[in-house]
Amino acid sequence: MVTEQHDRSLEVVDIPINMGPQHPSTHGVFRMVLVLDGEVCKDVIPHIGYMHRGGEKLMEAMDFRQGIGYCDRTEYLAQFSAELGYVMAVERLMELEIPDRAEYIRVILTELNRLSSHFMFMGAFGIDAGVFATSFTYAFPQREYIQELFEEVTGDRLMYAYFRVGGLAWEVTDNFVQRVHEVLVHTRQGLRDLDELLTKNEIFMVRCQGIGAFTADQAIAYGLSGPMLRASGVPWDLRKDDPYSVYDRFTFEIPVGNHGDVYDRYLVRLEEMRQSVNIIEQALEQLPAEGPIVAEKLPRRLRTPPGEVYSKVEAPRGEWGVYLVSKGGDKPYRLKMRSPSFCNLSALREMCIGQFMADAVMILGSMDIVLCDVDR
Amino acid sequence: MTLPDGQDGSETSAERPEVTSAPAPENTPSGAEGARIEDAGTTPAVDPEAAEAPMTGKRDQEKVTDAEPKPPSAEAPAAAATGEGARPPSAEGEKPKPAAKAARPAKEPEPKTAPKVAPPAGSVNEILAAAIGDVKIEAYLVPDLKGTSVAVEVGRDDVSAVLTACRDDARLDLKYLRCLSGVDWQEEGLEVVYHLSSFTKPHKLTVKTRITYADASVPSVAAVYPAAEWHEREARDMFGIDFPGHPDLRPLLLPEDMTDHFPLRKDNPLQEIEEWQGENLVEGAGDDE
Repeated sequence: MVTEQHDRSLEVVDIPINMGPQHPSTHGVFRMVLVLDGEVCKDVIPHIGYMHRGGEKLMEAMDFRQGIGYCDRTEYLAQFSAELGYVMAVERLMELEIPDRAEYIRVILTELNRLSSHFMFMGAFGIDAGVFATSFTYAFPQREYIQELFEEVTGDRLMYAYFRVGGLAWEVTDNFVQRVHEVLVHTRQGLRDLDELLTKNEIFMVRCQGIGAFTADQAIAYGLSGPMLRASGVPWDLRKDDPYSVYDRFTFEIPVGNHGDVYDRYLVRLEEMRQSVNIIEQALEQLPAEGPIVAEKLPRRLRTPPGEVYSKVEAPRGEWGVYLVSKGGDKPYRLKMRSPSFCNLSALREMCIGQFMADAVMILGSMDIVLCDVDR
Repeated sequence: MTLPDGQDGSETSAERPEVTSAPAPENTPSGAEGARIEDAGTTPAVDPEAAEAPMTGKRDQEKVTDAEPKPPSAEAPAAAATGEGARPPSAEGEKPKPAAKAARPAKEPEPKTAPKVAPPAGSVNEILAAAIGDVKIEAYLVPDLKGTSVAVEVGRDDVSAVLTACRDDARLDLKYLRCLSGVDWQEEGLEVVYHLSSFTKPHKLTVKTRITYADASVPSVAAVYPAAEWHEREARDMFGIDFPGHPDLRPLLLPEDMTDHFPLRKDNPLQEIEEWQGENLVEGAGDDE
């Protein structure tokens, strides 16, 4: 057998590897193509849009009350934040005055929603980091307590549609305050558990530290928001810096990271949860015992005067913005949803280049994206 | 993980001794539900109509409204045809009903755009004008969540220069592009809206630029604000706006071969079933309480 003379010098090629759209680490239907040199990512090409349902177009055909339901279906882990951003936009154009009791209940529910969303992050992120299901089993029961409370109040497990233009859909349950206190007992316990399980866990620290670091300037340039931005050292929180609702009546801290890496994002979220508990306690104290929960003189058919407004709230994932353009009438003329997951995910490529392939999973996990929110 | 025993059981059962149908402390929904329904009749503070509206009561009330004889005037179909309906603004709801109805045919159609109010002296648009020199800008106030903020309209070719100045000028310091949206204004062309904000200064700025359908292109600002990269790709998908200078203007949310029509343009209609979803509520039904 004649053997050919082979060129013995090594030929180095970059290997593109497809990851997703059905992959446990992508937290939904998300595909990215990793161009690898050995184990190092030389390029990352994210592909989104698998869940795109044309929500912005659909909302142009819905009246203002129907649109609330779509917000739930977009940001399905932080529904109250999404609803709040949307109803605030309509309320601003209609110039409605929201009663205090409704505002406080909104704040309490939104902050509880932040807790449940971050519990979800803690559980899922632990799995990304290789803690396997342990973090999940500690985080999820606590999330479940909060879900149960939401179900009692709104009658629904996920798609609440409880915040309405002008106030709330109906009065909360009679034992609401007591139930929130009960849930907070579990939440505090869950925070202690997760703190002990993850924060000083050596493997977790090695896995997280120094990965996917973004400087403050980079984070600002890429439009990151929420914990992603604050982990990079920018003390920016809309609840404090551009307060909406009644957030200016509470005292709380804004946790900020030093390194902007994956570990800091975890720490910022953990501390944020403690601050949320803090806010809820203050809100429960200040909550008026009784009073109206809907704005006065609310017309049955909601109509806004012509105009535009950009409404934004600090959702668990960052700035949830609603750009509402109205030509008058009962439907939005144009509604753009500025979703935090979308904007944070746009920095994925920049964050992953030069990192190991295994760390790309961690970086994606630390963004805590909701794919429905990315694709809308 | 678990709760200390004393916290859960004893407190809850002590609080609700009268609810006999709820022996387990977890069984709060049913007990609370019953109490709430009883309350709804007796609490005068809650506006019953407004509170009921989103609930089951809504359907019934709508039917009642439908059954009422409608005013036999010709303006009802006309209003339905335009889809807007010349309705008085909500503030005039205090008027007695007959007067409001009589006034309806005489009312002129509502303006489709908000009147443009010039910002007060010392607003951010003056700093911008000083920073960019002889670029023509038109400034007016737009509602913000609290109060108002300033919007400026600039020419398409000036967008890059204006946004670069916004980012780099220390007096403006608008380093954060929070949102970039396209808007289809039909006869008045397309619009690209940039929402900027600052971490150090109290002001915000909305920059807008108008373009025509025939020449739907705006120079890309992805080099100024990397955050614009995906937003511009989305605007190209949805509105067919070209962004020359963009590093990678492939379709983002839509399929790669769907480059011929643009979903968010107004000339791209929804499916009938989706339109029906919005029109489901009969135009005018429930308007007058």
